[in-house]
Amino acid sequence: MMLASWFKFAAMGLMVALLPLAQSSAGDVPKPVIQKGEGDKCVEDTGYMRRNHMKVLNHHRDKTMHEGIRTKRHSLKGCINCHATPNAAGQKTVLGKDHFCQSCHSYAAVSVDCFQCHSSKPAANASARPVMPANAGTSRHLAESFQQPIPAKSALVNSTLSVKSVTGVIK
Amino acid sequence: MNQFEQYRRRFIGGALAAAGAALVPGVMLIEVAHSRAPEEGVSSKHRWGLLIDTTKCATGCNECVTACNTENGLSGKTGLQDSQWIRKVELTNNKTGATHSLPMMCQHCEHPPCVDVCPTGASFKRADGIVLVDRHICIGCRYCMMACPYKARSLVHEDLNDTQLAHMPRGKGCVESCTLCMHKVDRGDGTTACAEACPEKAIVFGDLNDPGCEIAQRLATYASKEVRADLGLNTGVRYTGI
Amino acid sequence: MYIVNRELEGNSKGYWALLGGLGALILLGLFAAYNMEHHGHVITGMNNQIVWGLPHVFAVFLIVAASGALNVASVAGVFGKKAYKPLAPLSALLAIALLIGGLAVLMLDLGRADRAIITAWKVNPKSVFSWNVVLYSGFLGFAAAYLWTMMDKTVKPLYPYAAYGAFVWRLILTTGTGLIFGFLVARQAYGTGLLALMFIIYSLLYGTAVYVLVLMTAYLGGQRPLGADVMRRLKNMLLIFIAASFYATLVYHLTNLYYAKEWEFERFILLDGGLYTVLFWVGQVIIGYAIPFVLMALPGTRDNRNMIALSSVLIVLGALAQMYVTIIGGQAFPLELFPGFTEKSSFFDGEIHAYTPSHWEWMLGIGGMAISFAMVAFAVKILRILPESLADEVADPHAKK
Repeated sequence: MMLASWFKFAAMGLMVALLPLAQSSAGDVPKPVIQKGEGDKCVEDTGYMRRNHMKVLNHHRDKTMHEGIRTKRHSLKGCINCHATPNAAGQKTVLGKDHFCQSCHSYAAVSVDCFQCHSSKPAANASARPVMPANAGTSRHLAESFQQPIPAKSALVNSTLSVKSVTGVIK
Repeated sequence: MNQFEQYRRRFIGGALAAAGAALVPGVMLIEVAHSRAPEEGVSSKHRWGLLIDTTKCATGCNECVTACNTENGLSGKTGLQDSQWIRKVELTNNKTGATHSLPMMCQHCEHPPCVDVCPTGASFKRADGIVLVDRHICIGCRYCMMACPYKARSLVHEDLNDTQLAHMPRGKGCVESCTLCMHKVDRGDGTTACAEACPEKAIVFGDLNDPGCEIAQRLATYASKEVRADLGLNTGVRYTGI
Repeated sequence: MYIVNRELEGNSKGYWALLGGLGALILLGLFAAYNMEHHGHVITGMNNQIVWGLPHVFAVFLIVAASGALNVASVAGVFGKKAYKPLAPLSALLAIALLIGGLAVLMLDLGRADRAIITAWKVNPKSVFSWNVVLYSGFLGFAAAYLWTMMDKTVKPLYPYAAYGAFVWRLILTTGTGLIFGFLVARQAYGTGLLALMFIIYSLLYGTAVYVLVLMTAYLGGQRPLGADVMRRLKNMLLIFIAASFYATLVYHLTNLYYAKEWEFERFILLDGGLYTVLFWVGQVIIGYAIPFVLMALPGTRDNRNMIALSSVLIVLGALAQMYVTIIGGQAFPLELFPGFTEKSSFFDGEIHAYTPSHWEWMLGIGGMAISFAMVAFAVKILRILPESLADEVADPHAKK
């Protein structure tokens, strides 16, 4: 189908007129705000992370999930612990406008699937986690056998049977 | 023997007893506290399981359920669409009317039907026997929920709105169930939340492959059963008293 | 006489109304899928007790009917009955369309539908669902190849391979669909290889019934002659398939009734299951088998094509009832964890599980059916699927010319 010449000229003219819009469209999308996280530097350098963080996360997650390998260097919780910054309510998070993960991903228009399941907030410190209530079975039985106050959360939990029988022999 | 010698004997005996009492847990613990190094993978050297003494389990007590909900960030609600990883089942014998009570959760079978049916392999058994859902590849087809003989699995029906706990990711559209507190096991806690919380110590966690472990010793001593043993699944969770 | 296939002609208001109506139903189905994905399954009636609901009833019906719809073509291509050859292209097309509709419902109902694609490379060789990814796509390929060999003279030599391949593949596919339930060892309703065979027999019945309805609608709408001989052959097939389906159902229930451990479940389905009992007896047996059989067997009604059409509609309704009883009734009956004990828990152990489908599930299921029929309606208009005439002089090889 032959296009009428006036039509071709009109189309070209329109494209030329709209060209400046195409160039300045980058200005319509806010550049990502990269807030500083904890510590002085990341576990890998910035360039590496920008290119490979998804590969690192995917590889590590399979190792953690299927083999129980929980090294800290490439763990998602590790990333969040450092990179989460406080939001308006004072809660540290990596989601929300101008927060770490969200900021670049919104700019690049790549949706972040991780936080459907993963918490975007840093993990509460494990040792600060409250000890199970004082009448929790294991600690209580252990304390009785030693006639001591209930011990702080320790790895004494599963040796009740053997300890009782052995100390009984010695005494 | 003069008084000084008697005193010396008592002193040495007491010192040895104290040293023994201090050392023995350490000696025992060399096995228990040797949690894997973080970069080491799990292996089939261990097979984690639970032994539940239903004679100690009280009707109306929900400590294990509450502990599991708290540990894993579950809502604790019991509506038709709410997730329940562990529940108390009250049994009444149809003939005699005798009742008893027991907790039911994922039985961590050696031959899990849920693993067989999962189209993507998201439902899988870890080398140390814990049956898990890899929520990265779960597509939410719910076939594992149909296949499970124990109705152990739940689907997350709605958005959780970032209320998940950092150590227990869970998400809308994926299926989930009891993880045998793998995050605690991997950390070396040596127990599960439900076992810790039971006031009667009815739930014992341990390594079924370790003959020195309390659970293995009890299983070797007392008669225990698998629920639905006829299915031949060799569950990791065993019960006594039923 | 040479049979000519031609595209359905005409731009009648009725045709556009049909496409428009089906399009609206499709949009409603997609809207339902969007909401289910966005809000989660919390908006549906499905829950942790009834995990597969109304969408699966429709989807499995469509998939089973798809396999059976190809039967008409197989009778020509595999069993050599020349009289069915003109009917074969529509049969292959219908098989493709019904399968796509069923798969659409299944995939849109997934909890994480955005991840459905990973089933292509994350394969669990033990999982029937993984087999089905291969079986269903292979079936589409075979049926498409079959259709191509029927329509394109240059590939006619490949016709027997396509015909036999599609036939065998279809049997494997329907076996796989039945084994979805057959492999579930733990539930009273399932865990039997019988289900594979039952589904094959049901597929023949449901597929042929849908074929009859589509054929009659197309020829009525396209104002083309449809002879009594074709109708008689299809009716006879339906009669045989009703008898076979009834037999399969009978064997399943009789076997179950023999085992003491299945009495509770059989009692539930056959006697005091409320909705499920009604759907079984009234829906599956009376509406799905008895009435159509009588209508198509009695001398007064068996040659009346309106009765044949009515029978086909009743068979489809009976099919949906059967799927509801199998899929949802099988889940409503509780798992028996402790035989000999009454169970009670916060997770609804020991109780009959409640299920009320939400409107979203109706929309999704009906949307899937609409996808299938819209595809057929569109294809017959642009492709040479339908013979110009199926009048007796043309279609009946024994007619006096």
